[in-house]
Amino acid sequence: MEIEPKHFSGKRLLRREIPLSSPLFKQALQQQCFKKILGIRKEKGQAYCSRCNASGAHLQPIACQKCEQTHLYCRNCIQMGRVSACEQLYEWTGPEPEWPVHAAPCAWDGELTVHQQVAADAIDRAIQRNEKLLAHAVCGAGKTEMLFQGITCALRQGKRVCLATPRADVVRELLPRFHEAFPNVTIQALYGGSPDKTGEGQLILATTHQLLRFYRAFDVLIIDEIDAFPYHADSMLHFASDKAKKTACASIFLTATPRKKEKRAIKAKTLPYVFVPLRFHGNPLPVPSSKICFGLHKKLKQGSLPKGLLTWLQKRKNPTRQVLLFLPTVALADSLKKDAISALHPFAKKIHSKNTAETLISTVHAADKEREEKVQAFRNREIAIILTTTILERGVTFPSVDVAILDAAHDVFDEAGLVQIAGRAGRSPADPTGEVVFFHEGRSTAMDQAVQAIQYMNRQARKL
Amino acid sequence: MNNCMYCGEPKSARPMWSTLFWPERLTSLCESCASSFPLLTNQGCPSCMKQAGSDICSDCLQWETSDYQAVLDKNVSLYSYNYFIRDYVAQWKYRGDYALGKVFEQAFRQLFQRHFSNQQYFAVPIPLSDERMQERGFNQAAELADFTGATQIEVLGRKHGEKQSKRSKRHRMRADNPFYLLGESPRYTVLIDDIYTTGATLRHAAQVLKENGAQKIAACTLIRG
Repeated sequence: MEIEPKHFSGKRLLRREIPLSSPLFKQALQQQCFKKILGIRKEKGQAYCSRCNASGAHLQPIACQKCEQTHLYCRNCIQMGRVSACEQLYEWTGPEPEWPVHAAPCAWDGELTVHQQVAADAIDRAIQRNEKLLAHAVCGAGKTEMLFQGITCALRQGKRVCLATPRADVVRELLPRFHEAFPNVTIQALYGGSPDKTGEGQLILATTHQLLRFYRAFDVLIIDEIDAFPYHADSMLHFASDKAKKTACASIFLTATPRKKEKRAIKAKTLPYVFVPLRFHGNPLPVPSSKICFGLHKKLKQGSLPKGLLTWLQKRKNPTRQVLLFLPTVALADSLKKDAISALHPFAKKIHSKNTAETLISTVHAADKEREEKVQAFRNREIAIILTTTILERGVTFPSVDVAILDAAHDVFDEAGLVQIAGRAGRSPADPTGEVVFFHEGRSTAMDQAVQAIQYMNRQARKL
Repeated sequence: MNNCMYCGEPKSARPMWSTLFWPERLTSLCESCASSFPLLTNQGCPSCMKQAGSDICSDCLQWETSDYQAVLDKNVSLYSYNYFIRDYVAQWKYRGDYALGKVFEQAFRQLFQRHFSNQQYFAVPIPLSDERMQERGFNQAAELADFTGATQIEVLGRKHGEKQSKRSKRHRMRADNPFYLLGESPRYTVLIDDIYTTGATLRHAAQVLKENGAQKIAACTLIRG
């Protein structure tokens, strides 16, 4: 039996990730289709994980009963399967796969705005020249559509493309859009627990964690939401994305809220940069307003909602919009009392009068088993008010919502997060405005910075 | 390392005199994780520690009318079951994060010493099948048995089969015995495993030992599921 190079090319895998029977695998080794790499390598007396490059305390001893020795294993990337010193990683050294050359892969026939077109051209150019580019586009600028031109161009040349993002939600949301845009290209979505696992697509959509399995695989690597948790602060993921690139590779970074590091690189002109300050429907970003609620922390501790929130809900300009209510922690969402939730019922009824009030209000957090269903139900307008932690701060689009943040001065809401949260409002051309309110008991620097950043982007947009 | 080895959050390490002289151990948890293990405080069922009343529970009564009558003296456990410990143990045994087991060292030794110090007990860890061992590289029960401080002997082998956690209770009670004897069974045995759920695994193992000369068999498990 022939071994399909597409399954293995551009990867470094553990034996258990290679679905070949032992005789077949042995044969592949004899034919030098795979190169062996020690799971844990030693350099200058220091041990490193060969997959994620972790060292020091990330490597812990295990009394291995397979090889009857005590040796190191890597805890840092253990979520992807354990790498240990008595095992090897296998790198494909067999024939390179032929990726198909597509004459006209793109079926998307929408039109870009003038500003989107400028960015799309810049991305296209960077992809052709294997350069780096940071595309800074505000929330709702239509980032995905701006990529199509460049990806089309790469696929015409038979290149392999990866779009990675830190969040699995985002991958799930992108997949159907890409299937529609590139109907004849093999596309796979990879994230923890994804139905696709083999990673043999020409166009890969993946979480940044999944890049750990790849090695010199892609001609084009696009990283969406570079400022998002956990990518921005995790050196393992930066290592993984570097490793997944071929030596000549275009790197496109997308963000709506660049962090200090990127801002500095832009200022120093070390990172080519394109900025789209206007949303695709041409309306400015909603600027958050702040409402101070005295005794907010005390109220929340008691499990009830502040009065300010209820007054705001009463006075909203458009009471039929759905409400995204952000809370700083899961614990807080769970501790809210029944009568606090039932105080929201009349407002939920106004948004959506058909269902019973209980089903109209829902909470969602990272470890929620029904997270995907709930988000979908909110999108279908079956849920009127959703209480959420920061997991819904980015990557998800709801057409017509108002946004409230309780305890906006809490540490979990940093500048980037607040800008993203504010960016959930006014996404659709049919309802291009929305209210964003910070409820707080003393402003934080992050809140001020977020408001300033949004106002700055709106000013830039007016200048166009 | 100043981060919790499980959740990765930085630990609020208040420096004390002791930290100056004995640098903190590498493998440790933050306060919030460490306090999330549900310690069993009541005895519950005197025979298996099921937390339902203080009489012999219905499960044990059912076992005593089956073919497994009187094979297992009693079971003692450290923790009850909750989502936190479920995920923690999954990361430990299924992902193979060996270092997470170290957390239980002290508490598990104390549990063992408290119940099985007066007689010459041997610790017998519930084995994995060879296939499973190839997959995981370590046996979590053997790691626990190491902590007890008792002499550990591996007298049991295990045929490869479905994971217990994927089976229903009835299926477990009636399943064929996957264990077989490798050596001579000790007279006093404490079987060591990570979790007691229905007690089927432990009784299967106990029966093999009992049929081969063991007199007294008890079980010491981390979790009473």
